[in-house]
Amino acid sequence: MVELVFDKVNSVKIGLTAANCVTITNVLAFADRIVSVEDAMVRPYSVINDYNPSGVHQSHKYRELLLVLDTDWLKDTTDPASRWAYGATGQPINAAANKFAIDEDGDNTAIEYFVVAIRGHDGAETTRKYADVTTNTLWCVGETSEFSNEDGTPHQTVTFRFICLGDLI
Amino acid sequence: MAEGGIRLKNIASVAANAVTAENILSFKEEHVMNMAPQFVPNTFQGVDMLQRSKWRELTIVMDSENDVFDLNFFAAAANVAVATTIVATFDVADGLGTTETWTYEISKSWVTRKEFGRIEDGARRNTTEYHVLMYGTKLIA
Repeated sequence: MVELVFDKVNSVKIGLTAANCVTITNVLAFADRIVSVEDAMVRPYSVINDYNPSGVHQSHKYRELLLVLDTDWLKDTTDPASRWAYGATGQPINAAANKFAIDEDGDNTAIEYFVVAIRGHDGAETTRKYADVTTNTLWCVGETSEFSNEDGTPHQTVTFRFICLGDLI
Repeated sequence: MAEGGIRLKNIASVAANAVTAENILSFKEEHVMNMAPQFVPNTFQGVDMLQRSKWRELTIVMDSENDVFDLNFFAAAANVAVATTIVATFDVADGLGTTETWTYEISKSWVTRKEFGRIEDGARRNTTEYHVLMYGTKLIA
């Protein structure tokens, strides 16, 4: 048995390949959960009746990833418009030319490289690969920016949501 | 060219149609981009947006109230655009007084909800909360 004690998220790398990606380090939180469209693998009555509904696959599940940043990450620190997820000045994420994580006016394109590096309490780094030059598996599906002027607000956050159709690599 | 984080400190102001409000308690932008067809209704009723369209919902909470969003949206006859331009200005946490602006050039917008906070003993704030649904262009500078 190996016991893992996680300390913090070192970085989240998102892009095209290991050599062509952003290495986001201002990560406040990263979460990964399994979502099933049917809520559970099979409905109880299906189990009781030993019935597998046709056309429905019990592995029809996906991962939902949540990435919370201390505001946002820039491809170029001298250009506030160069948000990593957006086109023109952002980070390409697909082998198809000029494709970025968020398309303002059309379907988002799949992200081909997505790796999370987590530091253990002993300093060793654990990596979780959700996409490694992988096609049609992982997409950005949401972005929420939240700002507060109340006293005691520690961070102004930008939260990205992703779906990942595959398992860890 | 080096990549790195941008850290915003607070909201300096929110302006609509060039009228500026500074009594902003919080500002939230949700970029809604549902893409799995089974989870998206064919149309967003009343807003004439098609399946897969993307839109933004802005939530602006003010310390009491402000006339920055004029009263047009109370028109009973129709959904009236609340603004054609909304500009949120933030102070950057760099200690240099730098500001950053998010400009929403709005094709269409609606106030979908307006809520008044409770006024009661012990309440820290009495707030007004606007929910603006919009689509159009967002510019960062």
